[in-house]
Amino acid sequence: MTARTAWSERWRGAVLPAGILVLWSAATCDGWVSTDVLVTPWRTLAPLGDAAIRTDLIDGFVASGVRFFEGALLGITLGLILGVVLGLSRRTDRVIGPSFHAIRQIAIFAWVPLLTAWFGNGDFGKVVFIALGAFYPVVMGTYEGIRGVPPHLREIGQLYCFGPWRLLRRIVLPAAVPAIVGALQLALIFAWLATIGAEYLMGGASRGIGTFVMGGREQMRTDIVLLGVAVIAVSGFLLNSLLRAGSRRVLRWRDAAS
Amino acid sequence: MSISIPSTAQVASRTGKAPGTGIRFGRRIWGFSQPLMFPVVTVLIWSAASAYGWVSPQILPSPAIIAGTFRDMLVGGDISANLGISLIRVAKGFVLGGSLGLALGVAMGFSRTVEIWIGPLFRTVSQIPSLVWIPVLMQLFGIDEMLKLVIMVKACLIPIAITSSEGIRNIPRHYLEVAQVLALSRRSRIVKIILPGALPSIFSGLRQGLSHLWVSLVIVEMLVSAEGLGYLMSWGRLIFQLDVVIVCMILVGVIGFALDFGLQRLEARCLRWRGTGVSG
Repeated sequence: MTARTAWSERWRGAVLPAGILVLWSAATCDGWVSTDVLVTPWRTLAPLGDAAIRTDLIDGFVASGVRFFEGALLGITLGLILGVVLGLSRRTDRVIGPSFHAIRQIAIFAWVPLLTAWFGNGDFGKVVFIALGAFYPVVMGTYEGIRGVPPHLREIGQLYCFGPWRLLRRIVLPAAVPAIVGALQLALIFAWLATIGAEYLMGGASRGIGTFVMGGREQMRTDIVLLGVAVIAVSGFLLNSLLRAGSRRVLRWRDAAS
Repeated sequence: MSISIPSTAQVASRTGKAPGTGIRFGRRIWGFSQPLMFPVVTVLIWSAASAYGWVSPQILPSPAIIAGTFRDMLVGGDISANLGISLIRVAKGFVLGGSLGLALGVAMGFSRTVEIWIGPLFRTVSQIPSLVWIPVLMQLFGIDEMLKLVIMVKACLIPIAITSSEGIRNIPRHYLEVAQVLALSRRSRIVKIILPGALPSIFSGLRQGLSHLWVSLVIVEMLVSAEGLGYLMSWGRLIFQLDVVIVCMILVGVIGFALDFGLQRLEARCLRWRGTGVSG
């Protein structure tokens, strides 16, 4: 494919979004739909002019970010521990594994009512929920990574008379790194989603970007809702690309070796 | 247990390894009992904690209370009414979202033109999870049945369209070569080669779509609804009846599993021609 066809293809891909934008503007300007329902595209940025809303948005974003990191850290730590234990010990896997998979069938968002009853709908309840979101993918990825270590690598370790600890540190964990990196990537995305979901569903007194959006909805301020959702969408998109770039960098040794 | 003893013995005598029967039987019991150890111990500790008042029944109702609540809700019709409503919603959403998703996926998979025109927009939109869209859709569609339908359709359409278009585009080359060798018409090439070849990806998309749909329906029902399983759960939380909440959580898990299991069986049946290697 030449560069020219690529360009024309990109143009054609932009037609539909542009058309939607035009239709959206027309619908709102000519009053086909009420401004309670939809505001003009450019009005979406208007709330930024209001200092109070701007501080609300920035503070909420920062608060969500902090919560995201706390929850992700907690969930990843616990998930790594359980994943390594289940991956290494077949007996633990037989005893706990089936229960773990049974509980995993419950969608994480269905935990929200119980968690708010136990831990409140403030910061703590949300962090626990975010940790739960990050926990499952880490357990699964670590477990599969460790189980998937080729037997001949373990045999090399045995050949060198490595003890169990050394075997784990020098052979099993490094061999499981690609799977674990993938799991961490997934865990962070889930944690981000859980951050937003927690704020949508739990509400409560604490600030957050999701709370900002829901507040705008309660006041029927479509512009605030759109602005907040746009910020959430862009942050998710950035997180995603960041994680992809990060994992490529971490796994460069593997691609170079193969 | 009385049933399994003769069967083990029979198997053992047929293979001529009678001396090992006792050990093998013991191992079998051990193998069955291991996964049960964790739940049994948990329920025992949990019951003890409730019986001795280590935790308030408000915070953690005992397993016996939860079982009683489950029975009451089942007999009283709470479960059947709300679950019925949720499942009807699932059926509507899956039929609509699934057919739209398949149509879009097939169109993007077969036609480069369609892919060029709507692919970029579609991929941008699909980057944003359904959950994030909810407030915007609430503004646009209100909080009634329409909202639920739109969110469910969105949630299942995207994975179905993505995987089916990829499945069609990534048909193994030798399948297409067979079609060329046999000089099949365009129609029979599509019906006999491409669609069956893409079926595994289509099914994985359908399963992913259905599970996304179920999760997003529960979320929406928890947020804004006056009926349905998610509503029952948030209502239980509101009046601080955690036994109701826990029963609903278990149902969410069981239904989610059952929906996926049903599609998995269907997949196994449709893909029987592939022979071994198909899970199910």
